[in-house]
Amino acid sequence: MGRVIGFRGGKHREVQELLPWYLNGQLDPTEEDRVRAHLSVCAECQAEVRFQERLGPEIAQLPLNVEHSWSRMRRMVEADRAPAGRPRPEPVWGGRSWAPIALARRTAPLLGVGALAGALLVAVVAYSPPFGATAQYHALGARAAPTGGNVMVIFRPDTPERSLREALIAIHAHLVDGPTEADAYVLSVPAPEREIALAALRARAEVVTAQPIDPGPSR
Amino acid sequence: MLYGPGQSEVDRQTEGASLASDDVRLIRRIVERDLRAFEALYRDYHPRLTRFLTNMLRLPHLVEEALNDTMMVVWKRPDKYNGASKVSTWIFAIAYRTALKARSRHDEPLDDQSALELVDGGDPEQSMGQRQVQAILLTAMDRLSAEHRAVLGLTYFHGAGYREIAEIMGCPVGTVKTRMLHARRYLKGMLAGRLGDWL
Repeated sequence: MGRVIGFRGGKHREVQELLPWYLNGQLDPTEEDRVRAHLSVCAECQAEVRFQERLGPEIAQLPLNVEHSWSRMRRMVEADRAPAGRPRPEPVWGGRSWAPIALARRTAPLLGVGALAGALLVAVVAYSPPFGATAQYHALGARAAPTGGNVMVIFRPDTPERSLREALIAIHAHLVDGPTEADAYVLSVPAPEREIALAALRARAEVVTAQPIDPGPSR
Repeated sequence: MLYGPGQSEVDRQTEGASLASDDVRLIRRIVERDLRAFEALYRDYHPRLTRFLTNMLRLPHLVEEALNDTMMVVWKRPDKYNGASKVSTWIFAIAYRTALKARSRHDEPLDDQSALELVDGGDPEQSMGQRQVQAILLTAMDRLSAEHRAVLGLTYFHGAGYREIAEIMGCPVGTVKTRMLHARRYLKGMLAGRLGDWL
């Protein structure tokens, strides 16, 4: 006795695959005709259409905020437009624009800088790195990053020393330098774990910013 | 051209031709280092790229970083646009590659509670039921790969066809179709399992 083979085969699968683009109007007329013909006889595909008519709009809804992003983008672009030989508008360290340092330098005298729990930043907006940037940057107005460090972090001013220690222990970091003139701490974390360490630091409420200061592992 | 939802096919075709040529004009001006042109392009693409990158990356700080990295490429190398595809396809392809790199560096899955918090911070007009659906979808989508989420977002929000998606993602059209089918089945299973009456 042979197996009973249903009439639904490649055609049904083909239409199932095309349904999302049938619904968003992106099929060519031939494909559209094929889908329409199959839909008229296939209850399963009709149900799938109903499902996707609900699913699509749900996926499309998320809040947006352009102003904040543009203000950061504008600073990046303006820095990029600065003529060669003229100092860039913000100090730069380790391959990243480093606005936090400038602000930290201005606020440093207000803070107690003697201990780990001392010098910390009030508010900061960090730049994102230019995509694929390969330029060799040097510090302007801040001390050069000592060798051996691969992460720089700035904590909130009211962070207790104990929290700082916990943050460093959690990511297996060694303190290489700091507080710097910019009230930042330079840390050394195992190179393969650098991105994980950065993510862990950024996730802490007491961290204002954490940035890599070396080229990092090859990507 | 990649669009928002709610437009008819005729609207799209008419508007599409006009917007596409606007984009090309802006790119030409950006080649001349015109910041105003770049700002116009940035503001136009910000909502679409945010949605696309949010689908892929989920974490807001990563989304903004990837978005600005993407647009920095546009600013620095507008000459790389060769006119062979639509400007939007070119920009989304840059965004896709940028997001994949960011994703590989920050693989932080979203848990149910985080999904609920994200949804609660959204539209206050949404009903409790809608928020529940969205929270489930956010969690479910986060368990899909970035490639699957990219196909979902490009189709459902941006209204892209599978050929254009294949171009953006640099893969065969068959791969796009298969990813979409698997993603839909997975989401359907998740929704049916937790909100049986939704389907």
